[in-house]
Amino acid sequence: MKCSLLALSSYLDDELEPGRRAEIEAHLVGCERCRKGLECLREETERFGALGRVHVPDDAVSGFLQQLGLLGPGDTLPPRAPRPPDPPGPELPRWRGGGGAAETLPWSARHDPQPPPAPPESDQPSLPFVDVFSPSGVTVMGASTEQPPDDYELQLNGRSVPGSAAPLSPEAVPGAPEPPAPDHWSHGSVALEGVGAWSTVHPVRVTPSGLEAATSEATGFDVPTLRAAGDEPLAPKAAVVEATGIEAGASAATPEPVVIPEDILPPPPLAPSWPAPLAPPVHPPPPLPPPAGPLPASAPLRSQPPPTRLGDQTWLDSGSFAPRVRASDDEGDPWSWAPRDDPVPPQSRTHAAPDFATDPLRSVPDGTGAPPGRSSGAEVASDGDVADADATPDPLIDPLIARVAEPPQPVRATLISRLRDQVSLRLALMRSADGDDGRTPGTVPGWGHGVSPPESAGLLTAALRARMDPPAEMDAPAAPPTSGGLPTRGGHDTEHPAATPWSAVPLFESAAIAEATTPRVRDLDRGPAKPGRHTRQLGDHRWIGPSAGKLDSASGRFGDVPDRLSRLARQFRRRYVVLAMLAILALLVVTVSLVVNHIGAPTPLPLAANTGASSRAAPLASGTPALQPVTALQPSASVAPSAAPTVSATPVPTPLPTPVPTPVVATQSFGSGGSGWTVEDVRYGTQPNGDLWIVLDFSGGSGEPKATASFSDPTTLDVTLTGAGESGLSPGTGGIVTKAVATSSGSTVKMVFDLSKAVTLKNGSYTPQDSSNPYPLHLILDLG
Amino acid sequence: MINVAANVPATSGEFAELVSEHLDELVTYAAHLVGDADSAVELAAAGIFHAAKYPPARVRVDGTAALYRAVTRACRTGERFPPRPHGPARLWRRSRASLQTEFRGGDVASRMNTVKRALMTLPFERRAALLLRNLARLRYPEIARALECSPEAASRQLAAARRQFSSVYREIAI
Repeated sequence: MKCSLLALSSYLDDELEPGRRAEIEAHLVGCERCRKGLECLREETERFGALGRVHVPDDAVSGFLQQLGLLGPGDTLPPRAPRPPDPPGPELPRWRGGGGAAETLPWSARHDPQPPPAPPESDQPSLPFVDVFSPSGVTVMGASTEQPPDDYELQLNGRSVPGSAAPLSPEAVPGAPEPPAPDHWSHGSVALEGVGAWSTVHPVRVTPSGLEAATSEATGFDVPTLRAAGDEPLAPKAAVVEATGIEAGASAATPEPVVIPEDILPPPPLAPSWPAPLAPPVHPPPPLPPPAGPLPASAPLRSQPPPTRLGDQTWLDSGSFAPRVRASDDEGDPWSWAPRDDPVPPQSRTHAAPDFATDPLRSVPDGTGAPPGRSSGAEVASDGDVADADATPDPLIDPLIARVAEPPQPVRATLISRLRDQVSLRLALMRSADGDDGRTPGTVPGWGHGVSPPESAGLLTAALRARMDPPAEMDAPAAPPTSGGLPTRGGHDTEHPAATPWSAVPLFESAAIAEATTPRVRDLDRGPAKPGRHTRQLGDHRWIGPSAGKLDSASGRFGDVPDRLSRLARQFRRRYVVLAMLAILALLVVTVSLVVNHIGAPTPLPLAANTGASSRAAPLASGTPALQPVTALQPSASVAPSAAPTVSATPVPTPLPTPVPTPVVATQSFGSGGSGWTVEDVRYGTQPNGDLWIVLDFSGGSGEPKATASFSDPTTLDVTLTGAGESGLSPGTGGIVTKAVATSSGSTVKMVFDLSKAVTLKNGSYTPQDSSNPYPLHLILDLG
Repeated sequence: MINVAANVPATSGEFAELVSEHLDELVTYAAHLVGDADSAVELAAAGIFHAAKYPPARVRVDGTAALYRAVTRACRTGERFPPRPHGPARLWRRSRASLQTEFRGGDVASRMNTVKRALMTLPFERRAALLLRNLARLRYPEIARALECSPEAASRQLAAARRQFSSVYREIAI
């Protein structure tokens, strides 16, 4: 079988077929890599229990369902799922009682009047917390800092335990001096899960000095440990099992220190402990002596069942959500007291954390020596990830392999990188403080020559100064850390400068020289771009240079104009923005002014009134009738045939008909052509709609004299009458007509009307005699 | 043979019971999917509204997946219920949330623990797959229905999400 994260993930979720599941289980027996990966997956699954939960009250649910129409006003709310478990409290360090206390501690003190339902009884002894057993390590449960009231009640793994059952006042360790503890330290009873199966729960006291002393002697680790405070020492079965690998034989009488996760403890002082990483490597903990006696038969070791679905368990079964804090996670990690904000100890604090997010296949070396890449048998997932492959480096499992294959590092890789960064920074600061005045390093007495550093320098700086090699350290890279710590004095090795982790220390002189001599990357990296046909035609003739014929966007005489413009735009972006805004504002002002003037100005003349005009008031004027747009005008000047003039001695009083709208064109003609008419009078009248009527009265003719009206300019109306004459006609003025002149030559009368404003000749028609005057024929010109 | 019972439309009572049963999980899921508890209420309500409008034929069989699918889709598209007004009216008219919720143990939005920070770095589909499995405890076929993909693709999404989450978590949990 192939090691596969996909298979492990499906196995963890119990989504495999029985055959495949059995195959994976068989594989897990012999593959420690997959076992660790599976364990890692389980831990990640448990981490999601730290996420907060949202609860919707019943009344809100009822209202919402009624809003959706799923529930009537009088209907009762269907039964709801039990309330989710309480999420952890605020993010305080757990040793201060915050953070992931709800996860690490399976029980918590509650004053809930309704105790949760108890799980079914088992065959375990009477102690309430033997039902849940963590085979992976010791789980430290609860430390209360306050004295509970009388009705104090513990809810432990789904059971209600009276407050009297758990002793809350720990006793001091006999014979051990107890240092004064700060106020913010948690004092209280600590019960060991899995221990109570064969021994009584004993109150223990968490004291930093006693903890440190106990386990340092036993394991060689500088890790706070826990010492039992009762008369009868504890026998942490899980710790013994995990440390020794032997499940049976744990003795209750063996006074072994119990390693507890140190994050529930106050951090040790920083200053005295900083040289700890610089110390020689810490050896792995020696195996604990095997337990003296076998375990009682009544307390068999049980493995923790795999997590089941949510519906299969109650919300009080906090064991499915509460991740166990295992003593083996941070075992021997001197940095593990660093504050963390997550209840579960991250694996990255105990081993290297390679960057698999960018390119996992490149980051993980192949075991076969082949170049990194996808192997032939790799099954590529839909999103491009290698999901199942034989011997394919798995980013999730390989770090675990490295962790398992190698003994515990004295200083873990992550810590090395962090420390290296700090050292780089310190060295850079030190060099810059020394100055670059051209002095020879060997002749300059610095701090590393026995001179004590100033007090302002930190401890790390002082240590570095003390360890620096005076003559050669400033320019040559330091030696690789052969012992896992910092380079020793004078231990530089010039043969392997690249292998040393101190190669990251910047050497300012070299960097400056390299920067000065290295050509610009842009000039080198800009390869020839394939020009298009237009660019190629231009580039062959317009530019002779290194990039001739292979023009790109930045070559050529004006090729870098866009770049320059973009740089300029970036440089003066604000100025351009302001200018653009001003331009837009000016455009708006001009537009608004035009609109206002257009509204307030007199009505622009149509083409009929603007023939040959060049006035600004007639922007659509056109001198050529053939070029007139007729979109807004009626085509042609077909005058509606007016009634034939009726000559009678007794004029019949007929109402003045409404003039038929005549199409407005440049030159309008009226009348079919008559003769013998005499223009008797010219009258003006203003109509209710504001139009001015010019009425010409005719007498003594036949037919209708042909009348042609046109505008010589926007305020001058020319009327030519053919087939009519006049005898001493002196037309007056009226309305907008400021001047009227009539001249005759033969049978043609030409009349010129000067107008006070530009108007339009809307209509013109002949009408017969009416009752208002004795003339038989009238020509009405409607100006408006 | 045609399963006649499968084509019987679901009653409103059945769907109301389903919604009432999973409402807390749906809002919690939406809150962690979008990273905003306030918006999660409206998004979850929009998904439930859509699912109530187009209920699945077999409520008891795939009703849960349909609910999560609708909520996932609402979170993906940003659809809210009641819908927010468009135009300038949204500046002074704020629709009331259809659900009044309470957050257990503090507000979800402000508690940015490491898990949430690592979760927010994942793509939407992977984040949804992780939450559907680890928070809502759905099976792979149900996750596939919720994410509108095949069960195989859902399993691959989940495996890839776990790997990426592990990598990110290790990076930021220092």
